[in-house]
Amino acid sequence: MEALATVVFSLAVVAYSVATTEFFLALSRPGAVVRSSTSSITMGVGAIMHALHIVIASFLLHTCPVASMRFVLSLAALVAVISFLILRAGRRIDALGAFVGPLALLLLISSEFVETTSVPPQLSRVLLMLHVAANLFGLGFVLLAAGTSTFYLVVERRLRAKNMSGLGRLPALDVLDRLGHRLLLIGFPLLSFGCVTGGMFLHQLDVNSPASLARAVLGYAAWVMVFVVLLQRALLGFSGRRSAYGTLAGALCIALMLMVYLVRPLLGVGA
Amino acid sequence: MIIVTGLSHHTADISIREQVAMSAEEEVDLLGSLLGLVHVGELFVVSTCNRVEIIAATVDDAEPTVSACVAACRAALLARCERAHSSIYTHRDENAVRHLVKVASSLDSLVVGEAQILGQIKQAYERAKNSAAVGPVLHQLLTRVTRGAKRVRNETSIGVGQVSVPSIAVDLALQIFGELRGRRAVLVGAGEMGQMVARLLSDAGAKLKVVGRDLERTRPVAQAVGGSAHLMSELSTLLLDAEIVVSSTAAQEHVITQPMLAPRLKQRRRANLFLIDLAVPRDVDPRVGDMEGVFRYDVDDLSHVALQSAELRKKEADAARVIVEQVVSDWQRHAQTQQVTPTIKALRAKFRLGLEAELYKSLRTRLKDLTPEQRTAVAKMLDAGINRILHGPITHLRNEALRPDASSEDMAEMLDEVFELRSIETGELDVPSVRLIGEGSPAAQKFSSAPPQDFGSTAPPSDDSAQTKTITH
Repeated sequence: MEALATVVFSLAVVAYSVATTEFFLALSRPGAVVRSSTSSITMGVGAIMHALHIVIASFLLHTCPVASMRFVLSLAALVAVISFLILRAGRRIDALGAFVGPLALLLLISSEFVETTSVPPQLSRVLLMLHVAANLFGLGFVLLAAGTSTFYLVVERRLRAKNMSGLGRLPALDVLDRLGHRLLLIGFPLLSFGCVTGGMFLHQLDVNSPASLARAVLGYAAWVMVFVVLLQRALLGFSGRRSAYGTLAGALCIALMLMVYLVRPLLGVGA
Repeated sequence: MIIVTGLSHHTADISIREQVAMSAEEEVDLLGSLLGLVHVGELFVVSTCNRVEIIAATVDDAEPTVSACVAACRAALLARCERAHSSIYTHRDENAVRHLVKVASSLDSLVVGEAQILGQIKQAYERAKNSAAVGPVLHQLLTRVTRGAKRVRNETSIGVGQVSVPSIAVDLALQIFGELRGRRAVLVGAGEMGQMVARLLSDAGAKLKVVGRDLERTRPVAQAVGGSAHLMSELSTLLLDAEIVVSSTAAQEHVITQPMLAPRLKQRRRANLFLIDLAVPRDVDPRVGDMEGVFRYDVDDLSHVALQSAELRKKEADAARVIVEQVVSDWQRHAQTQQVTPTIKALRAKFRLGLEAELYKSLRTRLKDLTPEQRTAVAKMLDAGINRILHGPITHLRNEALRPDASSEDMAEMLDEVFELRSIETGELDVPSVRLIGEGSPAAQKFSSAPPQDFGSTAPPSDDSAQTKTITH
């Protein structure tokens, strides 16, 4: 079973690496429309292997994937990959694969370094599962929105510089803007639920370690950023560049929060 | 041998090209008249606004045949325009193949990288096919040419970007808005270039409003581009919800200024606005381009993008030439292996006839009770056996044909002598024998219903029939 877990994990890493390389190669063709069905198929294979790895690893550890923070990183990456593969149908957003591919690779590998923690008895197991599920979906969507925002800024910069050479043809500005907005709209309620339940858990456990507090602060900061972006968009019509910067700021908070999860075992800091 | 005879924008000006250019019906007439000549084996004619070319395959490679074919093609073109004499070029053999691949890949086009030429060649080939003017040689050639042209398009960036100002403007609009269907566009002024851009926007599905100083003079322009006419005084209102503005007036002052646009941007909730300024002097205040959500391109900017595309295409043309050479080399290999094809066919036929003769005797005596299905199985077994026996020798023969110091002719001659291949009838090459599978069997019906020129005679071989048509080397 362990050998099988290692095999599917390796296959997922290889598939994501190949897909990422293919996306970057497609992106490096100046002026050409970035459309790469083969790399999307490769990424799909990677997603299947990734999902298999999560299932097998959770059996090995006797842990439900959505009840353990160990799998949050990995599942968030899987959500981002699957969302990208679904969203690319009918939209010319293949170039986003150059963001999603490395992200999936990074989170998949990083998840291996996150320790498995047992669920404290005073926490509701069902609520914890919902908390983790909401967070991982929220993270997946916000990270994907960050990808669209990055590409938005690149495309806008190219259009302003009136220089179309150098890179392949990226998705249209409006497509990226609308897609980023929709992803935030889907991700925000999930993040909100995650924040509320997370706050409840912190209160119940009376945790006051620096790592936990840092995680909580960064999580709330990310939520505030996303909230501000959506609010400004709804009330003042702020879209495009301002939305993109706001989304990236939120994603940065999330990235820092994930870093805390990663460095926690290295620093020997408790939950 | 493959021959390309014709003229193009490189060698003939428009006054000659327009006389030589022909309609589809005229093409078919020309095919008919040239096919009547003994030295022309197969041909098709490509006639576009930039070139008229006759692509022919001669019946053999002998110099008199090739020269006669070239002369006939030249005469056919000169008959349409005598002045074309010095404009007509001829490419032969590998140069002809190279030229054809370059043409199909649009490396030889007026606008390098344009996508129409491959389709035009395919259509010309289809017309010739419908007139029974093309056969296996040009079919093989066109398959390789098409594949090569597609590789050039897919593996290089030769077709990317736009090179004309109106198409660049529309392409930039696509890069901002994704799709133009339903987008609100405003054309300010009635400049020719502006109308061209407006027409392209309208074709892409944008809703157009045309603004002018005089409604009477604006209406015809609006009608021409499929939009509605408005007065210049309405411009500031129209800017509230416009997404694309094309301006090409003869005004000496800026028509769209920063103070005019700034309050409207807030009202527009900062939705993207693409301003295409085609006027000289400029209609749009350059400072407008610094505002959030506003993208301003003037003629110089558009020309700069055109230059970038043209340079990119030029760079990619070098990569495309590598693919062209690969196609030419592939064709040469194909042509070389074709030289030993008659020997290979004759060898197969010889083995088949020998085995069939023996089996036929058995089928009339000891195996006479076999059902048609069993006979079909025996015939298939016979084919499989022949393939297995001859696989090695045939591969060796083909490899010999590809060697630069080709000794394939010696080998073919040796095989001719050893197996007495010259006595084999071509009609007996690829058909399961009716004697073996039975007259009424489905397989026999299938083969007997096929055109004789494709499958040859289905009659049992006889000593006399071998005299009718022999393989020549």
